Amino acid sequence: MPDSIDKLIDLLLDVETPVNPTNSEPASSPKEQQSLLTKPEKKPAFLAQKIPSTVESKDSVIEISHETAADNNNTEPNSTEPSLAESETNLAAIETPQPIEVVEESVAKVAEVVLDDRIQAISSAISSLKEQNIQETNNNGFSTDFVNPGIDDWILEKEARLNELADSLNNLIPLMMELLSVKVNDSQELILQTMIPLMDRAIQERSSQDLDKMSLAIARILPDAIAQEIKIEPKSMGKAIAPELALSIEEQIRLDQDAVSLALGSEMGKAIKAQIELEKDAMVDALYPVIGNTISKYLAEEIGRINQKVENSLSREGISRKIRAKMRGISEAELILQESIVCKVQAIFLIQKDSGLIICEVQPDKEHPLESDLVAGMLTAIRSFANDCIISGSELSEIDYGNFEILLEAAGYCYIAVVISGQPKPEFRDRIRETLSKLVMQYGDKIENYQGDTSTIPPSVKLVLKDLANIETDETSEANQKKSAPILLWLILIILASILLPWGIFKYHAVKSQRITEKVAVQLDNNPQLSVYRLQSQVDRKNITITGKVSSSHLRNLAQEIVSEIAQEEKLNLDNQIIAVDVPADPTFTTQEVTRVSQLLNQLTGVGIVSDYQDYRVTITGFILDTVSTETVTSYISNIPGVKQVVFNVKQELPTVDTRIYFDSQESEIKNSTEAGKIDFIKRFLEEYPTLNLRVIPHSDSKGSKSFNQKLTLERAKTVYQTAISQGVDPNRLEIVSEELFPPDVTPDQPLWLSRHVRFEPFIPEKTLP
Amino acid sequence: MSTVSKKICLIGDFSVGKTSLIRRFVEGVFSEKYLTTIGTKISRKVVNLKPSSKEIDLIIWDIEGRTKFKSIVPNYIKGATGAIIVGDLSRQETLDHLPAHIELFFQTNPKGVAIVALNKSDIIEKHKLTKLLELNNFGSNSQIIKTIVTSAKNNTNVDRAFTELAENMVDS
Repeated sequence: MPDSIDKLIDLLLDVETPVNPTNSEPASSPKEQQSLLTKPEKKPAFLAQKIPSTVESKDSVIEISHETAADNNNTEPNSTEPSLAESETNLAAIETPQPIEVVEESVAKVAEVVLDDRIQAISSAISSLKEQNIQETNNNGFSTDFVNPGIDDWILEKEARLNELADSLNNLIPLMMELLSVKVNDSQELILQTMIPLMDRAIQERSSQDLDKMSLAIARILPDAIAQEIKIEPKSMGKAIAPELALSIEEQIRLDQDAVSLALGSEMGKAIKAQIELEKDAMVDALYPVIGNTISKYLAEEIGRINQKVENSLSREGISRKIRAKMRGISEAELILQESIVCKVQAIFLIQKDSGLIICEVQPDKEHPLESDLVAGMLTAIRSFANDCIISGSELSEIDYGNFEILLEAAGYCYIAVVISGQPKPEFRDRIRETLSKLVMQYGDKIENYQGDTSTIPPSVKLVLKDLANIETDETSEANQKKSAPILLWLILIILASILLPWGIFKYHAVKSQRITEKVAVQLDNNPQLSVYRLQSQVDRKNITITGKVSSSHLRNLAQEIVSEIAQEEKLNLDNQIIAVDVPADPTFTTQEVTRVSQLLNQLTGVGIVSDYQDYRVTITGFILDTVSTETVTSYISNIPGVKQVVFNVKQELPTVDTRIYFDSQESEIKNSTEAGKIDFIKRFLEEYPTLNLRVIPHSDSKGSKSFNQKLTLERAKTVYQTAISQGVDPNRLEIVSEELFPPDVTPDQPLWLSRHVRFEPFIPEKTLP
Repeated sequence: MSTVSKKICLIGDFSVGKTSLIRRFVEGVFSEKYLTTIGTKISRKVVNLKPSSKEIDLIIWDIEGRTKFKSIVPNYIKGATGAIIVGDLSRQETLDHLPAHIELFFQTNPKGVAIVALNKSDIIEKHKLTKLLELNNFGSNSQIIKTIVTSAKNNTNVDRAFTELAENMVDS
């Protein structure tokens, strides 16, 4: 053992001598270093001298002296004496080439072993040696006695030197560190080059030695390193991690499912938002199969309902909806939507209050029945909870969840729960109440004593519940239809009535007025004076209005007289709007009119007149045999427009014709020229009285038979008639009349010839209108 | 044969294994995960009673366990025909509370029947079991059908507890 110590000490002692001065000088404070600079003339020489020696002895020490020189080199530009500094540089330049190689080598070596470790190893080796030595000495106490005091002294001496050595080493450490760092700064490249080939091995070796420490060492820098790398080249980092990302997430999910969800969850919303901003369509496409179907299905149903509503918009319901929408202050569309979300009973449960057992249930939707027992139990529990813990004594009346609603209505031992989709009408709750009270009244005891056996509950309970379920669903459609049918009918009837009744009345009046108008027209037309005028009559409900123009107020009054008769018959007022215009009559028209009226008047019996119109005056000549006819004729003629004066030159008696044409006995030929000359007289008479005609009346004497005489008289009349015609008499104005064979004015005692004649009798002929 | 529905409750302190017993009975599973029942959970199982081939529809109310601060809501027990009153063999205080639970149940349902289930037998040594069973025997009460040692984990006596209760409920 002492040998080994000796060797070590020797080894170190070789180093010691040159180390000391360098140690004391450059390792000292920066101030002293500064002084070194101020006195360069000594130091460089010294240093230059020392370097070779140190090179020979120990690598680590060489560095120090060299570096000090180098340090001086570096500071050279600052020197106050350039010449000296220059010389120094030269010196350094001469000296450095050799040491640098050595230094590099040594640095490599140091790096290889890691300086820290080496120093530590050395110091620990020293201390352990010391300890061992002391121990050994102690343990071998007896032997020490022997060798004492010689060995003691030796040891002491060695120890002292050892301490010295340790001190010097301790002093060395900071210097070495600094030196190394300076070197690294100075010639990074070189160090790098030397270190690179060894790096991986070093790490590997170290890892195999102490994995934990290595991990620890790397761990500290790892996050920063990664962060740096990401900063420098994010893409490659991404590439490096990418393949494992999915796997690592999978693994994490396997380990702790919630953590991943939690981590991603908070960002999910943002991520989706960002994606939507970035590429909306892709997002839409991605979600479409899910949301699209849901929405389209929902919309299809809703639109169907809305369509129906819109189609019915003109029905009674539609009109009432318009009114309701106005009253509630929402749009009609909103109301339609609200109504289209059909309210439907999903299930009705009659539940025993305490146990929560189902007494009876109705579930119209057979496709998705509710788990009634559990629902009932849970509802009961919720009710109990609300009763006990929230407000005691009060009842839970409804539970809302989304589009569903559970209406609850409780009685003594049971309660009813109605699961409804959509918004029920407020009246529905009343219906539930009614149903429940009906059930409790009828089956109260059975419900109270219900032991979970449904067979104890009469089936009529179910019917009552079914009724409740049906009413609500059918209410909207069927009930309305039932109601609306008669109302619609009434509506149609009222509309029809309101159209037909006035139309009927109108029609009736129209027909009536038409009839009256016609009647008036006929009556007016029948009046010879008025028939030429265009008079019009209008009939409304109360009045007959006659309009038109006549030429005199007389005609106006005449028309009024005629129409007022009709008006009285029909119980109408007469409104005479006929205007009497005093038109200067057209003489031609008046003449024609006078002639026409005269001809008309001539049809009256005993009237045979001729009117002559001149200068507004009508002169009437002829025969009017009775006074009544005279008045009539006067009024008619005087009312002819344009007639202002009527001069009557008429006779009331017909003239007598005394002329008789005599014949020889039993002869029918006019006997001589005297008798024939009487024909001329006849001719003149007819010319004198144009309104009169003549009857040709033949007679015979009493001689001969009656039949002979009859034949003879007719012959005589014909002869006269023919003779008159031959002399230019109008045959129409002669009329052969055979009367008595014997003339009434000839007595039998008078001569016979007197009886053999043809006499003439004037008469007013019955004339037909031309 | 009409199915008769009956409400039964599981009563006991918290964490004695009420929910586990029900899950074992209804779903046939057991999970070590402890989940506190809040309020009440309701399960349902139809039990076929052998001798009469009667069917009984058990509506099982899993009632929130009693804790120091909260007593059981008595309303949840109302209307129950039967009850399984559960204690945890590994926790003496839960066994000490059994009489209180029994009293509460019969107060609320005087005509009811009950079974006492001493649960978690799987974590109790065998020789201790008999002793614990002796200590916690409520045979004196005629309405208590029996006291039974159960384990939801090992499926010991779970079906038996429910079935016997069901049978006695039909009789009563």
